[in-house]
Amino acid sequence: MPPPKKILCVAEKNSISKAVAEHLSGGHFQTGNTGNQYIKNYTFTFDFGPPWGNCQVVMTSVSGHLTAVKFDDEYERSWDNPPPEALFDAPVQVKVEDDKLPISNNIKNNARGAHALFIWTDCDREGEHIGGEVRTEALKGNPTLEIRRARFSNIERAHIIHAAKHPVNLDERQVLSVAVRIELDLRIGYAFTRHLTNSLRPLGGPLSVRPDGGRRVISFGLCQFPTLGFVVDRYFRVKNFVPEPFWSIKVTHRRDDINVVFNWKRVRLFDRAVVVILFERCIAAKTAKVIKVQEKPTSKWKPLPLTTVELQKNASRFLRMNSHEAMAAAEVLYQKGFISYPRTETDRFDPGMNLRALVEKQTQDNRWGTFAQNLVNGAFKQPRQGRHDDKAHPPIHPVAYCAPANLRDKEKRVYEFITRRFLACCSDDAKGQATDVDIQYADEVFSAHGVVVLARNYLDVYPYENWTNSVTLPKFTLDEVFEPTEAMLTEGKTSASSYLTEPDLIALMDANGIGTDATMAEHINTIKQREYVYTRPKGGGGRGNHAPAPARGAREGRGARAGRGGQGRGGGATGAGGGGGVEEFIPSTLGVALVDGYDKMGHEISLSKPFLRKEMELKMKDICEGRLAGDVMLRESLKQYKRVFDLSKEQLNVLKASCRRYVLNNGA
Amino acid sequence: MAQPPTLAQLTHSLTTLGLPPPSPTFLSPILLTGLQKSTPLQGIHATAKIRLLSADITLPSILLPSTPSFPSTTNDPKIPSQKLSSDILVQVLDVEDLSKSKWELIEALESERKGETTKGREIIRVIPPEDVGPSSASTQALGSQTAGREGGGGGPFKLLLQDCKGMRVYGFELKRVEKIGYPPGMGIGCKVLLRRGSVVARGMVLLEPERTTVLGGRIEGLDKAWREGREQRLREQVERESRERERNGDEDVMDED
Repeated sequence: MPPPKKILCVAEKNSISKAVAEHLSGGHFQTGNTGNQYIKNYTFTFDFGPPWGNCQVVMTSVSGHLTAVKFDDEYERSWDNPPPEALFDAPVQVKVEDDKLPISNNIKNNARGAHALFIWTDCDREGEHIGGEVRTEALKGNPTLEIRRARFSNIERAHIIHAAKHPVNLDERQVLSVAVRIELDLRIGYAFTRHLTNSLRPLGGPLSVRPDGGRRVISFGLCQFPTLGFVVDRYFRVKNFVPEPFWSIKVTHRRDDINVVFNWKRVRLFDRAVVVILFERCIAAKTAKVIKVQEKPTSKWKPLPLTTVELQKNASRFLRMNSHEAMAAAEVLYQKGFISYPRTETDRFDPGMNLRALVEKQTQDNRWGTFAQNLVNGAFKQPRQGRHDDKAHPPIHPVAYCAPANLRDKEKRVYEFITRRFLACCSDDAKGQATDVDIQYADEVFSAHGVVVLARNYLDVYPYENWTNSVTLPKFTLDEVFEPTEAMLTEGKTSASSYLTEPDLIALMDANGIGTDATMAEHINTIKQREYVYTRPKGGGGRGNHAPAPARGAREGRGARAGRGGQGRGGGATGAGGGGGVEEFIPSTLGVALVDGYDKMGHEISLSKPFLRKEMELKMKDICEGRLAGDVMLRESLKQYKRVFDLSKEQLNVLKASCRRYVLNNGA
Repeated sequence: MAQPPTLAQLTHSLTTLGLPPPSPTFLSPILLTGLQKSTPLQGIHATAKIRLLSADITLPSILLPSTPSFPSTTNDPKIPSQKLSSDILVQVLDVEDLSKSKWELIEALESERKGETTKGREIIRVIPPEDVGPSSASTQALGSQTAGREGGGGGPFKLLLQDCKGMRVYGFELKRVEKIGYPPGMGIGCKVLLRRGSVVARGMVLLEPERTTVLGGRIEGLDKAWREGREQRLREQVERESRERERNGDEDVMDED
């Protein structure tokens, strides 16, 4: 019998490597050290099936990207010379970073004598590119290696074994698209950062020295600037806002001891005289006539399967953590094999997936076990199908049961949310009975709405949403004429939208095509670190917006959009706390100056606006789908940004003026 | 060959549309030119109609001095209700969507001015609110306060109307009237026929489809000026009203203290 073949497996991080080794070896493996203290080599045997059969396996990992794109040394020494614009076409090289050399050597060494390399990096664009880096290093050690890629979206045992036995090829297009993006980020980021820093430091003050005494670097990033742009735009919207009064008519009728409120179909109008005339006509008409009575079943739909963006938005809303923390916790849960891959755009489950089996795993829990059992016993419903499918990963869902005692606090909350969301998806919509009554009063139409909740269904396991009985309406008959108990002319005032919260910001980035689900949280974090924005607990001055506010100073920006903000503490109390843990973003003076400056330069394409970056994102997709060549994208994008660079150099004075105005407080 | 059209025929063809008879000084040159080119009545009628709808009807040469106009009491806010006793032709000088705040309009105009609504350059600045609990598409379970403002078309619209004598009276849509809206849909200077029996309440005409006919047209200069100065006008208006409220509001606060 020939000796078993040797196969080298490389994952993206050691934790994944270890988890995969455990599953493939059934827990029987040897651990060896490498030149990197966090990375181990796990040795075991595994039967890959044909054509490989039983093999000797070395499972190891990298630690994120193995290489970096670098300019030649002459460009690294000084920020002035060669000048920043030279970086648009200066030569670059892909190099293994010094601290990654031991990892690279480990791969090369283990490639020698191996028959094949199995790449186990995460299955997304970034992971594909890292897979490409691993391949390059491994081939240096053994040019005849066969290269395969394991495709997996969670670390659950059966799934991993299946992935090991059904490898695919590395997706060259994805590798290429990331390589192009990395080079663009480097060239454009460096050129603008150096240019900005060189030009603005001489203005002195905070533009030259950071509060902690370090030298200021004014860093530019393709995603960070548009992200900052959203924060600044909203800030000015809130600041400049002028409240305006509006008027409405409210009709109440008391019947069977129930006060029925009829709301005006026109909702509200911004002209007092007009509303007074309409109100007078109602009063003069004396009676109202019922023109519609409708009773119909209604339902509150269960949520869609969970995507990364939704997880991030909900985390700040319900789990008291920001998107960055939520993703970190999800990452741990994924690495431990409890949940599927947490970076996904997909909001529909593949019909072939055995969801009932996944539900069944949750029956042992003492919080939602009974609910899960009930689904298993027949209440199971196929989840709704969203419209997004990234063709790589399923929606985020639990793949194994995990008792709360085994998790840290944040992980526990994220696991609970993901599991409850999943069970909600596999359950039925909440059902109710709705009643609508419309009346005509003079020429105006008013309507009352009532709901009785009949079956809560998914809401029983999903406390993040609620649906309560509104008033039960008394009996009204079509064509019935009655004299309403009361009609009132009411007055209100518009209030500013609030500063951006993290869920808002993620939603805006998503809607405008900035960043990917995987990177949004990082971009947000970066603009905080760079001191372009800071956050504070939301709800600074949220007054309930329903109160017919006694007119005060017109320009205090009130921080509450209808329904959010002030809710928590029962209306009335001014500025009490705010909604638990949600933070709002305020730009720093530097952040405002940068956006203001670039906007005022009047580039038809301002850097603080999302289009340029969005275009890049679309082109990357084009590369991945084979519609665009990588070098074409590189050339086009560099040309675009070089033009913007030249323009902003010409108009540097505009940017300086903004910095003087906002940062140095001249003529504020 | 048919008889060439006469002034009477032309006038008649216009009045059947509901238009008041134009003055012969307005119609004669149009008829003459038409006759020289042997244009049939239909063609001359079309020309006359377009000219009339684009004319400023307050100019003395356009309509007959006997043309019906608003009675002097029309814009008296003390009269709760009165009715127009004849058909009156008016032109629109201003239009305003009463369901939108001025600030909302200013923000929309500003984003248009900055090119944020141009195709391929759109920026989404506001995500529709998901409040009232994280929404699912729960029929109308949302409070009717937020759900009610359906149909982005907006309205009711309030119009500043002017008759041929130059008198200005406001009117607003008691019920939706087709073709009333912002330029370019309805131009400034657009002609509207208010039918006999139209109700005027406290100085404002209540516009209803049965008694309001939007004839169309616009006065080029007015329309252009209105559109170009719109954002500036709205800003000044908001500032002014806000200052006024501030003044009144301060008094209230003083009283409370």
